Amino acid sequence: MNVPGAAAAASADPALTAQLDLSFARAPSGATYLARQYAGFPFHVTRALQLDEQPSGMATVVLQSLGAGLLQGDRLAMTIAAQAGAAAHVTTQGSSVAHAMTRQGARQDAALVVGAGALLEYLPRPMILFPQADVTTSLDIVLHDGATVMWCDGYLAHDPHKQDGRFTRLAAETALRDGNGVMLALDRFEIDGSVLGEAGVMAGYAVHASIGIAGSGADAELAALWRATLDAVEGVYGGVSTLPGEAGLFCRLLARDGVALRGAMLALWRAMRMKRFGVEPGVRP
Amino acid sequence: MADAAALLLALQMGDSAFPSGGFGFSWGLETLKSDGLVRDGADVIAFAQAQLWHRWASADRPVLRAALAARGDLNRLAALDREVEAMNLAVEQREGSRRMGRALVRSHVTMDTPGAKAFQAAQREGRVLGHLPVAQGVVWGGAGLDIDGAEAVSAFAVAAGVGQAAVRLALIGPVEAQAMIAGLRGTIAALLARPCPDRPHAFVPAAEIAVMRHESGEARLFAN
Repeated sequence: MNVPGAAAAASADPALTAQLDLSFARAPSGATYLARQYAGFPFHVTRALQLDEQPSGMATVVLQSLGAGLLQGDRLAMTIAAQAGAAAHVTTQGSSVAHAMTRQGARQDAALVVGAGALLEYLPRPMILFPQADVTTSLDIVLHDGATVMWCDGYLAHDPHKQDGRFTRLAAETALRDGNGVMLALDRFEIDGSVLGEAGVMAGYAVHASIGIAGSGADAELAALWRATLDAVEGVYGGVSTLPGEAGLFCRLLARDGVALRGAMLALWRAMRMKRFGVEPGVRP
Repeated sequence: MADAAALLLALQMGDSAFPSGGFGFSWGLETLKSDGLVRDGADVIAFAQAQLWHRWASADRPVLRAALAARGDLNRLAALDREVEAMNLAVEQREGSRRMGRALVRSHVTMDTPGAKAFQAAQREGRVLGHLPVAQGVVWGGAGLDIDGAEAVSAFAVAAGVGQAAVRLALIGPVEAQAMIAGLRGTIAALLARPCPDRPHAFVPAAEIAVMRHESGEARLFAN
């Protein structure tokens, strides 16, 4: 059946296919710089900021979005590489919002490639899922010898109209592979908004996230430190374990709200930095 | 009534007295209790529902189904096994799944179940790890269970295992456990009537966190 106006509505759909491509490299001076930078709308990135005393020369880039968030039909893809010996911290300006999607879902794919001896911290703020959001995300990490990667993947549901609206679907996959393509760890789930209200799933918490670290330095000593760190954070229930093949550490986290989640994530990050470099990370803007 | 031989086979495979190694595992229930997040029978039922809907039906079921279909194809079984290993992100969950799988296969080797011996040999050679849903597919298929029977027995084992663990943890009494399992039969029937997902996925964060916390916790009645 033809619905008058349907074609026009579809063609007016503000769907995006966008690409972000960043590659960090280490200069002879030891400083990390952006050797390649492509950011198609709605992505925008800051210049590489030097905010940390240690690791020396680390570059920080803040990803920004010039759009309203994830809308139906959006296909966003990003690739972030840290070449051999580079040290980079990538975060986001704020949470991305996934809006109501009644006709089709949105997709966001991120790929991290961490070269030999490099350090890449990819710690975006959690995604906020509005009622009727239908989102597929993937985080594909390739870790080469002697490298370290730390990542975070968090979600919270929010109904701005407070009418108990729920997101339609969230399908998320995080895959960690070594430089030969061998799968080291795989976290995959697919839920609808009602699942977050199940006591047996969430134990009364509202927000869920996973935080991982793999490669050099992700050892039993850090696991103990992360456990003690989590115990001191209010409003979270978290566990830390060792990934298959002792590839690294994985932390599953439940939090009462986004503030508690942020507190836990920052505490784990600081703990890792203090253990590895002996100094606190520099202050972020 | 269903074919009596098939029914009797399913009863034996699902018998809680069958030495399948599940007795020592609580899948996070022990720590959830000690952390004060599971306190009574209603909480135990919610835990069991989550295990069935968001772990067994979405993750174990597609693996079991694929393993049963791939019996004899060691390369395919090894690939399934590797995926299960990669998806179990808590040490005690991984070890629990492997230990239960090995115990199940060991029993079936003794019983001369077709395919069990070859699978055990592959385990010993390191070609497969033998995670529980893969092992279930191999030995239950070898014993003659069809896919419907294997799925029902596997899901029932989750419900019965939660019941057993909850009784040992004094969260519920034995009769209350049976009442819970009776209620969960409807849950299992409902999820078996749904299509099986193509790719395994799981979402039981509270239980998974509890398994992780069990590694360093003081509650050690169970292995996870």
